[in-house]
Amino acid sequence: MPRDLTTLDNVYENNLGTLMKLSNSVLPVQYPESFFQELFPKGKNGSKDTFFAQLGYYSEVAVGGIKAKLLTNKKGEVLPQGVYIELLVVLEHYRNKGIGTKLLNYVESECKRHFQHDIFVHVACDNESAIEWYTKHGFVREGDVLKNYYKNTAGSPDCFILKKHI
Amino acid sequence: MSKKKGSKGKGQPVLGRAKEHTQFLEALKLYESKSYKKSIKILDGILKKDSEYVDALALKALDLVSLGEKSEAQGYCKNALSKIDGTTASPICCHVLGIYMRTIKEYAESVKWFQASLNNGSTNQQIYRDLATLQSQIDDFKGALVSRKKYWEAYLGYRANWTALAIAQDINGEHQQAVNTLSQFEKLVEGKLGKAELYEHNECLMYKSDIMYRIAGNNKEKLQNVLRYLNEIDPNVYDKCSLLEEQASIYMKMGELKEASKVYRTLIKRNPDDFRYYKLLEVSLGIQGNNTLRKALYEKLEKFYPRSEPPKFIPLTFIEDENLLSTKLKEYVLPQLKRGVPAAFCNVKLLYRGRLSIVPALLEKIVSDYLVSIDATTEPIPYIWTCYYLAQHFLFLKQFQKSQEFIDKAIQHTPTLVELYLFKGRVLKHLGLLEEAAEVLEEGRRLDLQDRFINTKTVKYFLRANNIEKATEIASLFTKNDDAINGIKDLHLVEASWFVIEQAEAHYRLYLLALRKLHNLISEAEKAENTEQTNNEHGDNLIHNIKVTEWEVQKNQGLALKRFLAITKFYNQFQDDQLDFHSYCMRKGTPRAYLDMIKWGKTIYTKPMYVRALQGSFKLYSSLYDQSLLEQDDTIQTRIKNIMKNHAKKAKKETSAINKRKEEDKKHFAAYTEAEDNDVYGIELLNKKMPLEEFQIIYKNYCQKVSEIDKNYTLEFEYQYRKGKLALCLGALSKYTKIHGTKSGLAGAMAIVLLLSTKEDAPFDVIGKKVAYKGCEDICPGLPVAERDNEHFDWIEYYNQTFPNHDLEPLRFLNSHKRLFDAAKLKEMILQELSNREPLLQNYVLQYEL
Repeated sequence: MPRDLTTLDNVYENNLGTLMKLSNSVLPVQYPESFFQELFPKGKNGSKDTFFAQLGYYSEVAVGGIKAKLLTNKKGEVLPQGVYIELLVVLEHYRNKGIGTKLLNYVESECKRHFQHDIFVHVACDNESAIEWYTKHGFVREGDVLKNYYKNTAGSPDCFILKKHI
Repeated sequence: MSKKKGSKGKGQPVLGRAKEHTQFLEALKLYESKSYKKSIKILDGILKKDSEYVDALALKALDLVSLGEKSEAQGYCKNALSKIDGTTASPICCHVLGIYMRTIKEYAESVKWFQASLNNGSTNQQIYRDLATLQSQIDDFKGALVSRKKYWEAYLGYRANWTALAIAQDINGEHQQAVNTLSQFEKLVEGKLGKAELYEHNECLMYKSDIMYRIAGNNKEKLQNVLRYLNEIDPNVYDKCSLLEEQASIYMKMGELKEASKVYRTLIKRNPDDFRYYKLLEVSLGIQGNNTLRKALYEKLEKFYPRSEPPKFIPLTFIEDENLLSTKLKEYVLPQLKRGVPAAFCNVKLLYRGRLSIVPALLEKIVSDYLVSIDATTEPIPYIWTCYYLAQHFLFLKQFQKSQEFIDKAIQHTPTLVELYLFKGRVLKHLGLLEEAAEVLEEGRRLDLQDRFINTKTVKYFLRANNIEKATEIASLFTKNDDAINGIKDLHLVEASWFVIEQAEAHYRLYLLALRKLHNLISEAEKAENTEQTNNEHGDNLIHNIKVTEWEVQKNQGLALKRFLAITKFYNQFQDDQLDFHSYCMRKGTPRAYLDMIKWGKTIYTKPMYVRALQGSFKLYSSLYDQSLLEQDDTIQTRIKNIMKNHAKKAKKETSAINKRKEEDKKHFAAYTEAEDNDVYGIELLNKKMPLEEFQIIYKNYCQKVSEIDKNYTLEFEYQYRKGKLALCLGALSKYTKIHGTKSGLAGAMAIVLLLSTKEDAPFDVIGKKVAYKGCEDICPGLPVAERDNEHFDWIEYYNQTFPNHDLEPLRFLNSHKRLFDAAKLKEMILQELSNREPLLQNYVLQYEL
């Protein structure tokens, strides 16, 4: 049996830089370092949120990554609302090789583990390939266009909300 | 290390000291059971009554040193020695002193006292073993042979003693006796070997065959004997590889090539990746000169060993036909690129070097064509490694622009691959952009903080860019920083030469830069002083800058020297580390490994790293020496003092601010614990009265061990020149020309400097000058010695004409003696020479040497 070229692995504090590099070189939006550091909360002021993050490898080279967050309902209700994908990137030349699907599958399995049924994601309006990809993977648009969602971006500042129910 | 002593009570008690002597023996027993403090207590009692009792003094020194009280111990030892006439002391006393000397690593002294103990009547045979170990450590193998023999006679029942004796005989050239010793022992143990001893036995058998092989030389009969012996011991030998290798080389020597080739084929079968066997197989088959046969051979071997490198690679080194070579190269390189082998370029680099006129061009075409043929998205892995290959290819050809293009392409395609950053940094380094290079490595390092390789590389790049602080910070991520603020102590403890030497050189460069700045500031201040425009804000600033820069100069100079000397300390440690093995290897029965170690031990002080430290420290020591020759008024210190006279208040304030910082910063620079060393900045090293003599201490180790061919004669020349010994400079020049000929530019440059120096006054002595003047003519025929006193003779022009393919090295050498020449013209020549060198070198010379 041939070796599977694509694999996933955890994000560790030491290779956080890789995830950061991937995000910054694929997305037009530049996230600050704190956005990644919150995966590894330090001290009392650290974030108490639950995150799911993975790196995707192609032939042992890190080429994609995902970071998702468990959304809790702030109004004191017991049940959380779902899982929100904050970041999902794959390097341009490594697309259509199943890495993104694997990353999404990982988050979906985490959803099941946490008894969640909804996955959300924001996608920039001009990011057609992403919209197409999400649609292919069972996401549907929900609600109207959010105006001026992205601030530090070279692309469109507006975005859609996509949702997948599992 | 054995500290056993069996001679208790056998020494002669001095008359009238019977009681003290018994007490002394008690103290000795306590020492042996490591109760040093109790031992000292008794000794103090003895010494109170009789302060002349040397035995007690010596033992107290030993007790103290075992407790770590080195300086106190030294006092007692000195006291004891002053009361002993020559070596006439009791055997126990001599023995104690011997052990003391060994503990403080004065091995030659230790040998002396152990020997004295035996001469004075000690019957303790154990001493011979310790003595032999120490004699081996100080290279006194003749003495070691005697001691080994004595010990062997006393204890015939141990294998270790037989092996030790044989080794000592072997080292002293008594090969036949060594063989006899080993044979005798073989007979003794025949049939009585336990399982545990089999390995030891096999080593001794192989060792014996080694000696026999060496004795045999080219004598066929003797070689036949060795061969027979090898066959005999074959079933008992574990190290089949050495056995086969020896067998093969015996066949080769005897001219039985066919047999040899069979053995080499067996060896290849055992390890088909060792290039040596293939070369030797060719020789044994007698086909080195016939490329057709060679090609056929390797084609066949490739079928046998399809996964091995050598059969694929070796044909590439000799195939002449361009088309065929091109096909073969393709078959060799492209599969590697397809698989994504990062080392693809390194694998063929040897061909680039060896066949510069043909291979690079062919491979450039092959790989470029391949790159065009693949798609970046469907085959991403081959794509990046092919770009990577081409970037390396163009760097090799010094086409920096193209190299950069390809590496950028690769990074853009896959920005998460650390190798790409490493390489991009390398390209930038060659372009002389050291800071940028370090930043690129830092970018790569951040991808994976656990990657130790890029961590150390980044550290090195930052050091090259003179950013010591950042480098230390990054290096400290991987060190043990228990009681320290950074990893510098730990890096010294683990003898990380690469870091220490790079740091030393960085400090040296910073020292040069600071020194230049200081000179400028002083001139500016002196000018201002003359126009009396100093009592304003600008003047205050100037004073501040001068003070700060003065400290920068001193700090960097001191630290550079400190670090260079730290390297030499590592090597002293390596030297001392051998001590235990003179007994350990005997016990473990590994004579062959032991002999390898002895051989290695002789080269320690000639290793490149040690030489680099020597050269670096010499630059500092010689500049210290040059400064010491200056007139009092011209020294920087005096000039600064003069400027400060009118600004006493401001100066005092600045000085105290700097002193405060000195104390605070100490912990950032300390390489040793405070107890070991409190001269953190190396200031005491700078203030030594005789810098050249300090250098001599580390230089003599090198001179003793280095071979004539490998010796660095420029260093020797410069050293003797500073010492004022022109005759010895001539010696260096003469040796150099013997090896490199008189046509070499460096020989010419040295000869010119030497000749022109013979007309100078101090510090050169008259006889030396005469010898050198005469010698220049003899060694370098054609050197116009008669023009020496001609003020108008243009030596630079002469050099230019005589050595037309001038290298940079001789020019830099001349430049270090530029006071003898027209400095402006020399500078111009160097600049011209530099113009077609790579930017890295250009920048270095421009920034630090001109």
